[in-house]
Amino acid sequence: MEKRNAVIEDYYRLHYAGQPDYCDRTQSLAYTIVCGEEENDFYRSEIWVKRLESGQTIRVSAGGAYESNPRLSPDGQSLLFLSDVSGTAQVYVAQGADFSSVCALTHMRYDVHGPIWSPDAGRIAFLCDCEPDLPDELLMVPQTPEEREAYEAQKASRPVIITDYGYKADEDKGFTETRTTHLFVVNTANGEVRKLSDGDRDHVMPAWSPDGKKILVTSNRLRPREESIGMDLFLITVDSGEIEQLSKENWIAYYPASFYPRFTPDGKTVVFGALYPDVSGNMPLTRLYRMDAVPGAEEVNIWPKEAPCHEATCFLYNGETMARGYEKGQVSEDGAYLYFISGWQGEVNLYRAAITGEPKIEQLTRGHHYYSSMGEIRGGKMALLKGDFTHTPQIVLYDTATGEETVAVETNSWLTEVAIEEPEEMWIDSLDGQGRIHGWVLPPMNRQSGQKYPAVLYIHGGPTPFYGYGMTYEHEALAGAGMAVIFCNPRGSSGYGSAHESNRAAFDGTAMYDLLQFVKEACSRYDYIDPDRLGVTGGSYGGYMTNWIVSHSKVFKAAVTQRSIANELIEYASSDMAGSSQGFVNFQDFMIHEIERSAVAYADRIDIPFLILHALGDMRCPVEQAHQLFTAVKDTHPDLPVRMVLFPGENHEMNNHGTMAHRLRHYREMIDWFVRWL
Amino acid sequence: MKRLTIEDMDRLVYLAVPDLKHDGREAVCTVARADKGCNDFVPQVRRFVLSETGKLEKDELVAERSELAKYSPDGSRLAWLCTDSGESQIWIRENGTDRQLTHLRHGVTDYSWSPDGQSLVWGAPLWPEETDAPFGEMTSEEKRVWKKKKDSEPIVVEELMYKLDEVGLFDGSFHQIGVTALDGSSVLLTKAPFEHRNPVISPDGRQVAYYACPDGSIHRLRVQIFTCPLPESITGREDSHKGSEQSDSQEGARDRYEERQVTHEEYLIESVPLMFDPADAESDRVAALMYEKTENGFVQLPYLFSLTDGKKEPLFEAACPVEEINNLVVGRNAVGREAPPCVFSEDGGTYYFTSLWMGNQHLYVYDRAKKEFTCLGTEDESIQALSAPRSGRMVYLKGTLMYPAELYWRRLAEDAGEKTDTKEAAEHALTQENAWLSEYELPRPEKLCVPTADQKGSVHGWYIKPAGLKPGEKVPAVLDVHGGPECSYSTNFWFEFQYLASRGLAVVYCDPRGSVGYGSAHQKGDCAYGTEAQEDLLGFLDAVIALGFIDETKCGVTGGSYGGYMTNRLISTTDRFAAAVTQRNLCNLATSYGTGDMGFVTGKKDFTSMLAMFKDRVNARATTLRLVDRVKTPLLILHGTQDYRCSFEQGEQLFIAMKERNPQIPVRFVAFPGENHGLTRGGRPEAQKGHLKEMADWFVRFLKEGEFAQQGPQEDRAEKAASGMVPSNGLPAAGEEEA
Repeated sequence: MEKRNAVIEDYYRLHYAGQPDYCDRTQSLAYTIVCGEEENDFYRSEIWVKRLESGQTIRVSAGGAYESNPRLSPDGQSLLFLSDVSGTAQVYVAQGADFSSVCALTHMRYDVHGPIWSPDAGRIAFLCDCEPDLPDELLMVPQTPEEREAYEAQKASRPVIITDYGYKADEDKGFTETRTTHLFVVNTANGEVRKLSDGDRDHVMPAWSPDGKKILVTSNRLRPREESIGMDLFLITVDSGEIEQLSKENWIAYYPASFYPRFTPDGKTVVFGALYPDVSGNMPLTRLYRMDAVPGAEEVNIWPKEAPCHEATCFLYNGETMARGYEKGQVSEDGAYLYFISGWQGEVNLYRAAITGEPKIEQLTRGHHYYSSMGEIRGGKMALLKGDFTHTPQIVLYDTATGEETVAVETNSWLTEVAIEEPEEMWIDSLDGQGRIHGWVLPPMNRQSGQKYPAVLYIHGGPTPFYGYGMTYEHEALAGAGMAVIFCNPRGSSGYGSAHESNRAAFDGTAMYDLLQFVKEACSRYDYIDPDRLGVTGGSYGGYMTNWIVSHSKVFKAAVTQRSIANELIEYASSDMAGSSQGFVNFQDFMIHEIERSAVAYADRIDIPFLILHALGDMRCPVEQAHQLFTAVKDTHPDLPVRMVLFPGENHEMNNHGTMAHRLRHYREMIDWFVRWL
Repeated sequence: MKRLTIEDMDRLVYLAVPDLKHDGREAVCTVARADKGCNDFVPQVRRFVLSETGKLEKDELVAERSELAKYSPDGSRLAWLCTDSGESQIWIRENGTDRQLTHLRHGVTDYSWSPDGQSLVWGAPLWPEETDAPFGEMTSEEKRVWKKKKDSEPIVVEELMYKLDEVGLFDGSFHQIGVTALDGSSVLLTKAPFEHRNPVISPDGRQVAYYACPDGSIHRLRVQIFTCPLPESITGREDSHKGSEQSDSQEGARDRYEERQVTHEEYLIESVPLMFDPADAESDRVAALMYEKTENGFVQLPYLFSLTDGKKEPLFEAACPVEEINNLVVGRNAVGREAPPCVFSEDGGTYYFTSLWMGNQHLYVYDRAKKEFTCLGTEDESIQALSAPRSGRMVYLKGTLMYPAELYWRRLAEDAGEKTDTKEAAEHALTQENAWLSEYELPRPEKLCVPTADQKGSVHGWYIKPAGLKPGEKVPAVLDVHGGPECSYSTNFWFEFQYLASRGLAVVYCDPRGSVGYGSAHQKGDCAYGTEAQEDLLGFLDAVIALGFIDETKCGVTGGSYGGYMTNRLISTTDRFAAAVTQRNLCNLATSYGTGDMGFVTGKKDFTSMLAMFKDRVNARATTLRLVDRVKTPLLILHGTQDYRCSFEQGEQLFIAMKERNPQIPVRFVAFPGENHGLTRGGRPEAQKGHLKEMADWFVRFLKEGEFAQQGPQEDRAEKAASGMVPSNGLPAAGEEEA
């Protein structure tokens, strides 16, 4: 039977399973299903519970459109979750047979996130945003929609006072002066809410001590703002509210990849991920540590000298998922192992580290696939997501004793009607002889033999993330539109070791030659690729590289640059990841240096149809980048097709969390541009 | 006597666009105030009934939430724009009753009466897909849905000049021209996807002349004069549209109104509407202002254009004594609209205009037959917004050093039969909206004229002594630098300065080289960015200091836009200021290119490569950021987040660079969400107050309370240099001019 081509509209049919939580006592699995809804242009997120013995599935809802974060209580009888039915995300608890009795537990002013059960299920800890000038009592009173609108309008016109670094952040936060995340607990019996942290800094990633007396929390409350990613561990005694610093030496891994700190089941030890300096210039690695749950205790590195993986996290760039804030570490019930996920050569596998004794890490799974979103280990089993090149993530149950895996929830079985193929894997030797570049070529769908097709080089962002064994529907849609997609992990990508990850190589031309060499090799290996009809695209760093590669080579005939960096001087101050002029005696020399390495300074050499896609609210690569790039290309090439599409109300994460209509328009603009010019 | 507080800013009343009835016995004017509830300025239209001698007999409200009132030529009707229906629509008063005349989908932006008073032409914003159904307002629910959709629609850009500070990003709509008769029947006359503005109907009623930007972008730099035939009689036409329920859908009708481009000029000035020359019996000539290139730069002069062939001739047949018709006063009360600075007499024999000259804005009269200019002016006044002369009289707005502009009545000299004995009687005020200021202790600005250091000219300016200054006392002072640089301070009431004075600070402000209104030699060439302007400012400040009431160790400096550039420059090339506030500043040309709305390389002969251009921009004089290592002055940075002239990233760069390079120097950055480059003029009331309060607090903190001064910036710097934190070499000495 002939299969059909993928189209962009398929996005409305994709269902994303996520946030699995398994309870061994009741043999139940709670999870979410997210899908885009075309009619109202929003994402619907539904909560389901599956009885694994009977296969019965139960929908749990408080009546909201976006309901998430399902957590079964330790006895499996109650389910907490977040629902937006009131207009903001609040904690709800469902009980009774089939969880049909649902009641609201919190009524906070702003969205609640990350609620977790205390061990005895008598309390729930959660995070909620606060404002500096807002009295605490107002935080715990909901606003009517009218009040919210009036308050937001008033606040929107209030001057923003900025006295230090770190005054803005991407991902919906905007000017951070306005909001700080704090820790709260709510009593499940009477709904009484208490605020447990204070100050003008964030408190995140809470974990209950097994005796339920303390909460472990991560905060930068004692760090200067320049150390924007420096975080420490704190212990908060729930009854007294006393807060004491636990860790001091390490930067707790929260950004760019969060690793939730955990207690061991006996409550005596805390395990955590922390940023470990890599060879100069690279993104720090996430490595694992343990310490006694006592302030001032030694922070012991439990990473062995020889490990089967590079770090305790992974920056997988692709793989269709909509799950936010998924967790990357779980402790076994006997307290012996810390389970985590790591990536290597495109695969993302499960590993475990010995918490005590001689440092040791074992690789538990192998294969062309990826894992994410680890649920808590209960009864020796852990629920997690697993996907690959031809499957969107399914929920699997992993047996920690036997290593066996069973599929618990399948989604998107309709994808079998689409001509989705396994991409062709390629390894090439780099021109400089110092690296091997790994990547893939996705052939055009339903291609005719002997016919030649255009191909698009799709460059990933970062540069630290890597392409792995996960489906990217955007690639499928390009293939569905009759184009091959070339994607690979040039120097600067993680998952291939420190030398390969070199941040310097990502920007000094090395990565560009890796990419050009990979494209050349792909053209010679696969005769369906027409080397005269090549396009290039990418987002963020991939956008930077798109700008750079088309101004420094003549290989491509059309380009689409997404949320790109064009001028390093704009990035220096206006990105939420501020740059640095350290090492320059004279600021003017720094400015000249930054200009010389900015793609926009070579915009006069961009002479192919050029499309710029950018979100107006981007604070990572601020939209001024797009404005200047558009002007520079159009200004020097008045007759060249140059187009810029700006997306209102969106930020750098638009392709992950933007509205469905904007995401689809974004994909469509890109695909149409390549169809038109290739 | 009371001292001004920041809240008093809300009490200021702003007048705009006066008009006079045909018999000179009645005037209307827009009167705007800050409204706390909606955090915006709300205009109303007021009517003033006058005696034969211009005495005020009655002052009454015509309509709330309204502006831009104009009498029909025969005086029997009054029109204005009112937003009560949800959009800004034309309303009419006739025989004592008011009614809404137009129902444009998104309202009307500007309009004018036909000479016979039977119809009005207007400009209205419409999206291209709406030009077939431009009439009929949306219900509030329809509008909410429409707006939500529009607001979330991606913005597609394919041409340069897709944004303008005052407008924001191009939203895809264009103004189109249409006409509405008194019975409400309407015809949309233009449809082409480009801007059409400020339509006027010819005296013979046969055609409409207007400005348009045929290149499709929103930029107004290259507007052209267009014309379009008008249906012979709007009323009773078959193809005209009755009521507002249907659209003009008859295809055949369209061809008859085909618009035609008249001019191919480079420098027409769109902000002043076209005027038909009343002296031209053929109804063919329109007067327009245009930039003319002279050896010293550009001057604005009026020209007459033939609508038939686009040929032009200068309106002035003699040299203008003030060189040009210049209206570029900085930061004038810009709530509401600006009325034209030039008008014809009813017979066209005389041309009246206002222009800046030596700090004043006088009324000038050009007698076209005699080719003679006369100045009708007294010292210390600033005449703006002329009404058309009617029956030998005129109303206009006039500001003084002590009061914001009020409405004035004037008997024009040409009305020979009514010549009066005393000069005073020729002019008097009709309003005293800002009389409440008399309860306050407001020091009078004093004038000073200082020869320039290079002896090539002189610098005019003012200083304000703080309220309650005791003899012999020395106080801190703030030097305030205007923007532009092609602007000028003029004789006007400056709330900002009076507020600073009420906080105990002296204020010094002047018009250095580069300012307009002092002759083209004063603004010649690049002197605004060269050493001349800087030396003029410091020379003027020194001259005021020499008067003996200023503590020269406690001087601050501030300014917006170009004034922000100059503030940056002064604190990075001198150490004489103890505090600085840079407003909406430009500090890095290498990033302002393309992020602001100015400046392109297309067609530039000296363009070699982008890299060379960017390096030139880094090394440019205007790029003061390159000198950031030398700044030792506590710096406050104020910037609107939606500034598309000097984009927000300019403020961010200066802040981050100060933090990183000069961690010991106090720096503070205040962002104003949603505000553009016009923040201190047209910004929301709360933003304007917040802006001024931040500035005043900063100066009080570092100039009066002496914070940071004790440790001494100089020593601090030396200490840092010794510790290796700051380079002691590689930097030119302070004050040395850059290559």
